[in-house]
Amino acid sequence: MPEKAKSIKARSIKATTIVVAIVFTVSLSGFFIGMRQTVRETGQDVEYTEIHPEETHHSVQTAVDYKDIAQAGFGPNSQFKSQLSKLRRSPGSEAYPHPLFATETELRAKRESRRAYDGAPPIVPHPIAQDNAASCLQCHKQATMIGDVIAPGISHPEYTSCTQCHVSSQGLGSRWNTAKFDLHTGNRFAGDYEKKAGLQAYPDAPQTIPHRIHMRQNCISCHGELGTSPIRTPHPERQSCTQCHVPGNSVDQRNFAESPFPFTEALLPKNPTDL
Amino acid sequence: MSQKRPWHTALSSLVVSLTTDETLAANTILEISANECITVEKAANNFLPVVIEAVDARPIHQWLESLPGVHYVDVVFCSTEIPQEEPTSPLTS
Amino acid sequence: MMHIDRRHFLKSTALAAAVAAAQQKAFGKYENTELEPTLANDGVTWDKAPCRFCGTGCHVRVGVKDNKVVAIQGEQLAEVNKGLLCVKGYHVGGILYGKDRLREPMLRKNGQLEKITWDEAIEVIAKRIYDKPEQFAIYGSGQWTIPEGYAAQKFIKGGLSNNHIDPNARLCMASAVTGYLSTAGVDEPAGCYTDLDECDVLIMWGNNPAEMHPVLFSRVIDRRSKGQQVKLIDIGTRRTRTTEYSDEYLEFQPQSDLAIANGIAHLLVKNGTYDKEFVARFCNFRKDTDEPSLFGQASTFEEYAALLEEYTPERVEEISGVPAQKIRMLGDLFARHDIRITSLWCMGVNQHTRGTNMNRLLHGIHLLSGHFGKPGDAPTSLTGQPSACGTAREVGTLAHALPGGRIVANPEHRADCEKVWNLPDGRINAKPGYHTIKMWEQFCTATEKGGDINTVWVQVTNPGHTLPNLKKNFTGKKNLKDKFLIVSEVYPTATTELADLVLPAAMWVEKNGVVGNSERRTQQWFKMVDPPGNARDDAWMTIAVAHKLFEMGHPGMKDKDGEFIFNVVDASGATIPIWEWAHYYDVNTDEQLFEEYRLLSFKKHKDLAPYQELVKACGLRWPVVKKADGQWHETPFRFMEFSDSYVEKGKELQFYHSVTKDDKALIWFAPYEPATEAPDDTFPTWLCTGRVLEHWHSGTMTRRVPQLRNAMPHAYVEMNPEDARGKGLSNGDIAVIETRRGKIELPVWIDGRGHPPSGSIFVPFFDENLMINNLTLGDIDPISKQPDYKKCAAVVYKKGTPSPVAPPKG
Repeated sequence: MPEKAKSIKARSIKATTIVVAIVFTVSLSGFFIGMRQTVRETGQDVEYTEIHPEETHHSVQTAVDYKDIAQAGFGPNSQFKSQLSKLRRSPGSEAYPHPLFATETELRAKRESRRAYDGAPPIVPHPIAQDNAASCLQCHKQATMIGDVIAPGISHPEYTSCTQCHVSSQGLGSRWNTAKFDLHTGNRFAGDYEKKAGLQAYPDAPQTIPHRIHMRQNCISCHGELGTSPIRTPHPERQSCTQCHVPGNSVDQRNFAESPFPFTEALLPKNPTDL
Repeated sequence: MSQKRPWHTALSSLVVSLTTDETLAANTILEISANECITVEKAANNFLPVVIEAVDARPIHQWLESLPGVHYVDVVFCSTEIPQEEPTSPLTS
Repeated sequence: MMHIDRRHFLKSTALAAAVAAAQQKAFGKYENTELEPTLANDGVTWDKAPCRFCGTGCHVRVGVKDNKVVAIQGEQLAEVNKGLLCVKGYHVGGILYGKDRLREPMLRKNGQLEKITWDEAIEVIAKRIYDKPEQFAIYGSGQWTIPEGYAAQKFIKGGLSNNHIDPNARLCMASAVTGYLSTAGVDEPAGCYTDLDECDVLIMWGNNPAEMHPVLFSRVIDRRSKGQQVKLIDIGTRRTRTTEYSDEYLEFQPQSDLAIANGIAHLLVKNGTYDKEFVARFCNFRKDTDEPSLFGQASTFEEYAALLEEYTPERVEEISGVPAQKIRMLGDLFARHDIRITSLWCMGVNQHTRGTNMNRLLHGIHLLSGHFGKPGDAPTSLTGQPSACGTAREVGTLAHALPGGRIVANPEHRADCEKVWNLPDGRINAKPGYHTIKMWEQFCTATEKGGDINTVWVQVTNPGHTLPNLKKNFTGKKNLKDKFLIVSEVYPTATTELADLVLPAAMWVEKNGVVGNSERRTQQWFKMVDPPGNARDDAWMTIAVAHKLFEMGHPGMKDKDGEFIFNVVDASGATIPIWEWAHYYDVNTDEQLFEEYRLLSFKKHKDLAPYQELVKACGLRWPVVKKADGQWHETPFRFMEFSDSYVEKGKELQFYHSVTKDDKALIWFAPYEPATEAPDDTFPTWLCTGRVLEHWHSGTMTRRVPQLRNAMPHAYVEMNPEDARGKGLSNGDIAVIETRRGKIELPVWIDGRGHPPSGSIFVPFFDENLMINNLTLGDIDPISKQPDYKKCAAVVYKKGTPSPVAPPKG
């Protein structure tokens, strides 16, 4: 009788061993197979492409041939990468600086490239709807950051017709070679650009505003967290800027010829010691 | 100016708009300057700046308005005092 | 030792305040106060000037440093724009600095332009004129400053007894002028921009103010953000940026605006909702004579009503395509007395083969319905150019006109000018000269074929680009060897291409100037920077040539006493030789010319303020009158008692230059007449041309400003998407547009800025490399002689496909 029992036990042990061996083999090989790079990834080493070249959107995304669809990256997992080194670099690295950490020179250069002179309405660097201005404030009512693109907030009270002053450098969008129709004349206009710092009565005193303030009633649009100026306010929680920071530019000086009441200085004796 | 008010206008500076008739205007200016309580400055066209200093400038103001060469009187500045029992008015210096 | 006690202090303060107040009353500042030129610690000086561009007349502050313009700011103290500008205004500083700015006079020798001296240039011109003074003509401009236009006017009409002077404003405002003249007896709007602040309804007739008069348009639409209700109705031939801000869009077939206006008048009469009292008190009726004429013939209300019978809403719908229900909506609006309606129009109505009639009809419906005579109730034609009103219309630099609303045909008017100019009687020629199209036609016709204009002096305009039908009106000159074209310009243009003599001119703030905008506001500025190279003021050029002729003994250059007609003396009576450039700025020649011209402005109550008053103000609206308080006051609203001091007491509304001499305005009837070249089988598409926001007219200034050029680099053709699909065209494709006069290749722009309906296309005219005026028609209005740029017949096809137009046989 022990022989029969022994053979059942032996068989079940053997069966279990075989099953375990199969499972083990399958999983182990699956593990190694999974670690292998897929053809899609190794076949063509897809470089990370700049989604946001310097000034955006030169062309519409073209449709591809059916045979190329697999490679074209339309599918839901098109961004899948199984290697850490292939992951999109996060902003902050040298090759991909975060817009919030741009240097002063970069910011000033960017500002100047979009304005004929300090105080000119900036050129719109992206294409716009040419027939109406309804969508401008969707992004520009307050400074907005979309991905890594900053849409600066409007610096002046809202007017209805934005495109009356702000024109786009990405205008017609036609494929006609405009160089042929350029006047090729160049222009020597050199605009006046903004001062770097305002006057201070003593160190740590609130600086006067060195630039003209017309059309810049909303200080935060340039000097806030998402602003375009390298000067960021250290106290954005304070809302009434001009309570401490007064206009210092000559154009903004009040024209005292208008006032009927002269300075009392004129009444004081010339020599203060005479008093 | 018809009611009696409880304060005095001790000092009052005015711009007197004179007539465009030059002779009459010149005579009027002389008349006004002759008054002791009135200090007169140089006129700009036919607008004459004056300052009245008196215990109460209001009667003098009315007199100015009644002059034939005066079209209109504008008040620029006035200083009022409330009359006190003791003569400690700062006007007496 | 001085004691300052309280009393002393008070007295000093009081006295100083009184003195200052007296000063202010005497020497006055206006609400729009003068800006003292301030010198800043950053080296930038700021001074005021009107913008160089459109007829809105915004005021800017110009920042100058080291003899260069470096910045612009909107003038917050100016009533016109209150600190706001448009993109052109913001970049107006850059127009002075294109690298190919003309710096030296040049004479064409053997086909090439070669540098010469100014003395030589002046002599060339003088000799040419001395030779055949009656074949000389001046083609001037609505961008001429008032003194420049006045100098040219006096020179040719008062000096040479020659009336061949006409401005480019003939191409833009002539119909508006004839409209005003035939309605009120005198030119220019009764209202002003304040109407835009007061109106409840704004109707735009065939214009696109969102792009063309942006600051004025903003003045209206920004009212909505302040909580005000204002209804905008865009009556146009295509959807534009203006349409996007409008409450109603009425699309009409080109030319049928005449029918729409008549449709409104018809309803007012039929429903009895016209303002009976207003009409009885202030209006007479008028209709045209068989041959169209400026003042037509008398008519009656009954005749007027009868002539309007056929313009039922259904009939108007048939002609125009605007639904009858919308015509009724307009009729109901005009019938209301509780709202104020302003009608605004510009080139759509004026550049029209029946432009005078259309203007008359628009004034007519406002008068008929009583929507006239109150702020906000106004029919207003907007001008395109900065001084079409100030110079062309007021100084009268037109072939038939004299300064101050006078005409050469009237002996009394001639006598007035001869008196002010101190000329012998009969010096001024009574026969009107050639209007623009006729002038150019004669210039481009060979002398032996009767082309009796052999020399044209062009100042401040670009006819080689902006005349219609260029093949007929300009380019033919090329082959006519005995014709001489003198061009005073700032940049190389399509006109200098065919010029025989090119004179470099000073521009905008490189010289003193005075201009007048659409609301009768005369504005002044001082020179702020020097012109480049040897560029000089246009007025100087005219005076220098006049003096050369004087030296050569031309009798016309002498006045009655034998003095030079532009003689300017200093305080001691000695002559200042302003014809010598070195002495031109010894005195303010602008002021001299302006003060003389001013004497002629009173006859038709267009009184101009003295030059020194204009210096102090951000412009003043004429008539500027001195009131009992000794101050100069402008007149915002003419003919209306509450504002115009020339209106007799109790009259309320007085058209004191009434055609019928009874203080009443005229309501005209004019029929709908079809366009002169409507689409047909061969040329089935309407071609309309016009402007864009970024570019000023022919783009010679704005295309040299990088920001503006990059925003709008070249011309294009706007097409309806259905039409484009049918021709196999999509965005960016090249289309060929052909008319009976020529063809052109342009890229297509679909659903861009404008949306033309099926069967029509739109092409902007600013591009000198893609000149659409080679194709335009240029038929003129019979009364105003203004050409129509808005309608002709064209065919469009894809480049590379054969032209559907059969070549002419034989």
